[in-house]
Amino acid sequence: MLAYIARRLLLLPVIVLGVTVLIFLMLQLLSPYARLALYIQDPAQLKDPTQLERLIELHGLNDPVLLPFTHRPIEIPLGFTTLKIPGDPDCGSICYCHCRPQYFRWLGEVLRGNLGWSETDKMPVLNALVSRFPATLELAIFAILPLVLIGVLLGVLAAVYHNRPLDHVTRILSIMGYAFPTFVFGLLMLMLFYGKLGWFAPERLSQWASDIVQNPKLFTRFTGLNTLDALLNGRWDIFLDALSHIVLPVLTLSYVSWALIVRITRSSMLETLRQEYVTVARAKGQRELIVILKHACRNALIPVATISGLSFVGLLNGVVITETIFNYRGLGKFAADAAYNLDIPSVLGFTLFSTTVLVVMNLLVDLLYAWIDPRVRLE
Amino acid sequence: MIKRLLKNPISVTGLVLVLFFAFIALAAPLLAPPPRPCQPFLSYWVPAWILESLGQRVQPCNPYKIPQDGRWATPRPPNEKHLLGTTAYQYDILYGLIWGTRTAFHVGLTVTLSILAIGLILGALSGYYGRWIDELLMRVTEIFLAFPFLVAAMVLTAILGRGLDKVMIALIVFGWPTYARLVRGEVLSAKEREYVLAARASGASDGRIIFRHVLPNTIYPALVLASLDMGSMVLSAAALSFLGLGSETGYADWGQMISFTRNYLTELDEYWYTVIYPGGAILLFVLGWNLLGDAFRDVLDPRLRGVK
Repeated sequence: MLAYIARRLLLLPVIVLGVTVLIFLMLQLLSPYARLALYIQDPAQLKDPTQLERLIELHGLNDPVLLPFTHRPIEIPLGFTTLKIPGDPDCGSICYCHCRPQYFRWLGEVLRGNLGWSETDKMPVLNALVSRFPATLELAIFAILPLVLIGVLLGVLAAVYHNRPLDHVTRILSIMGYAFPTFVFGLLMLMLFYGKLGWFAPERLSQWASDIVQNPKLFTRFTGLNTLDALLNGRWDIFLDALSHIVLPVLTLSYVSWALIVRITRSSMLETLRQEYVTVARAKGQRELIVILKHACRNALIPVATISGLSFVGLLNGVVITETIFNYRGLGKFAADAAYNLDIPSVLGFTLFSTTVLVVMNLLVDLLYAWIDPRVRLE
Repeated sequence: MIKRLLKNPISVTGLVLVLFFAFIALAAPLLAPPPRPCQPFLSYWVPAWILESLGQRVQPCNPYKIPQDGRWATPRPPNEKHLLGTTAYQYDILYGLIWGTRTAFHVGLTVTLSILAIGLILGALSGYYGRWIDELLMRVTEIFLAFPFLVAAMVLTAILGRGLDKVMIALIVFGWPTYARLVRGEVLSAKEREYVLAARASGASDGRIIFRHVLPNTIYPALVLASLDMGSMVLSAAALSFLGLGSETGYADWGQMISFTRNYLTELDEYWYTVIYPGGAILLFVLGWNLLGDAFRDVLDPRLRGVK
């Protein structure tokens, strides 16, 4: 087990480094002027056109990208655009240069927490990410807990009552969930529960609650999670308001993963119930409930652990769409607005963040998997 | 195989849905003739460069531009003139749905066939030659797969600049690694089989072994995945269009049509037709390909049942 953990932990930085290299290579499609915003903490610098050349020189944006070698300038026609790779006109084909490649400068800036200037939020990208994070965390917590509990329960029930009405309903629901586009589902939810019925509303809080929460004299923001802060402040009215605003985004965000979890739990449970040891347990007169809970579920839920981890991908993808639809000011809406404005530093900051979360989550899930299922470790 | 497909009501539903959309796409010029018809008539179905090489004069025309009835900013409900109503800025919804079917097939086929081809080639190379090629390619796929797919596609589209072509490029760039992995695994097990050894013993070249012996026996799981991806890639493209990164305003593209709703999110119950019709089209298109893909999987590759 220790060797397995060590191997996985060693791979982690390799993948994260690879991710940053890939991101940086994609950035090279932009002109040096467009890339400047990644290095800037103060937008006033970008306003002065006479300073741009100096800034490009300062941050070495025309230097070699990955390795300290330079070459002739190259132009590659791509159809819709021409990819220009700057180089040294005096150089033959390849020559060594005494400079720091751009990638390492940029990585240094990122490690120091400088992700550039966010035009979307009018502040440095890191500050924007930090200030938006609690909203998305709150959404994710509310989405994941019921997701796993109800999803597994439905899947197990569907398998136990195989080919009965409940099974058919869950099957149809999970197929629909698989095909239903998040944004269409979200818009329908909004149309029905806000437009028609008026039960739930978009955004994070109602206007009156938002006024109180924003006022430091009336309300202390301990964590930034509205529901938790409301409880800590003893404001039940705000707690209920925050809860009613989060219901629709949570439903929209999690139904895709529900479909997946129900489907996997059901098929895995069906397979386990056919195993001989389950028959043995039944034959020796064990009560059916005990057979299902103690004998079948234990083994059937192993693949479900992996799938629950995989559904994080779904959550990270879905958070962008969901928060846009419900005008929920979290990281996802930040990324969507930034992408719409072609504000590259902001989108990139979100990508770095979400990819890191995903890589770490995948690692945790793999370790969990190895812990539950000893066969994995031995491979 | 076809008999087994037709036995299962679920796969029949999928097949019917896909054929229905294929029919709409092919018959689009007849179902919704553009206000200024393209000349010659054949240019609706045959690419311009083929007609030109045959000596035909092709006038540039763009049937994908939805006709606009005025510039009024609020949508209008269904009426005799616009059977399904109009979106904001008075783009006809029915016209957009019909030509949008073509856009969906265009996006789906371009992206899926490209990632299938890239995945097959790289996966076969990786699995067949092994050693450092395998090590390198697999590490690279790991890096690509580390990104959340939609987020990665969103970044690349934002870097390339708005547009449906850029959306497709982004989906291709981040779509191929799944295929490369799948094919590699299959090739790894296939290359140890007797028929490959026999081919090698009779002096066949590597290229011949890969393309004539290994790939035909390993391609099915990739084809199943591709049929599922026909739906999901169109869905991803629609999601990016919804975020405002896809085609320009007024282009017949389902996601782009829905993206108008972002301007009146709180009044959706009044403008339901701007969500239900394009949304329903996307839903049925994706559903059709999913059901068909599931059916293919059950028929072609029983091992994959219940996975994914």
